[in-house]
Amino acid sequence: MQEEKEFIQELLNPKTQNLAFEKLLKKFQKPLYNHIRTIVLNHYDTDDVLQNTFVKVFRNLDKFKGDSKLFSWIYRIATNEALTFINQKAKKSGITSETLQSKAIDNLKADIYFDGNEIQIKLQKAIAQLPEKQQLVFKMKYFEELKYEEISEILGTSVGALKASYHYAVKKIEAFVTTN
Amino acid sequence: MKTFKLDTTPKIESGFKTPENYFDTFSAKVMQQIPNQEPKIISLFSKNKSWIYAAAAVLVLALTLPIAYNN
Repeated sequence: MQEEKEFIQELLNPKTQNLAFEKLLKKFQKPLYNHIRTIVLNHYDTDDVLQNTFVKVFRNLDKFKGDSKLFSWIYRIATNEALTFINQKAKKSGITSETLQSKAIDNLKADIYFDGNEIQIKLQKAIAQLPEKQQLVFKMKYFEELKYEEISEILGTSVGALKASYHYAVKKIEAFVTTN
Repeated sequence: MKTFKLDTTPKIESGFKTPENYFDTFSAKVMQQIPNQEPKIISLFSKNKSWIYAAAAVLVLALTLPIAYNN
């Protein structure tokens, strides 16, 4: 905790800010990339959202109160940026975000930055059947392997509710894959 | 019909891949969008010229005082 407090001071001090921010970038770029990609699915969209996320983090450093961990604060910004992105993209195209997601999954087969096969695509389709929050919980637990406590800090949902959400998500996914 | 069970199936990876060297160049891309914190350099051509006038006044005094004294 002390280490984090010192790092936050480095991030807030104009003399050390840029160097500290580069450290932050290197630490979080891969996990945040994976987090955003599980939401937006496409590499290029992920690249845009990831850059916007880090710029937003930088601009709001002085608003970070330290009452949550840096990790959960950054993940929260990334999650919101990703969800806003897909909602805006859907709106611009005049379709629902569910339809947009369905199209994005169909595009995966031809995506050069996707090397999955039938089961990966089927799993994505199964996940797409779930309500938005449940999709997030499932992806964060199954693909990103975050702990329930971490997911709880990021989403602001209790660990108990998350476990229930994950359990239901698994059941629905299993039923979908079995019958499709 | 075989029932699909997630916990007995080997872990299904997402299948997502990144372009080669993507992360190597990513941080530079972001840093370009961040304002650079440079130390302030006091330019001779700054709008505040009062220090130049002060220095000039001292110089004039230094040059004229010995002359005035000798006279």
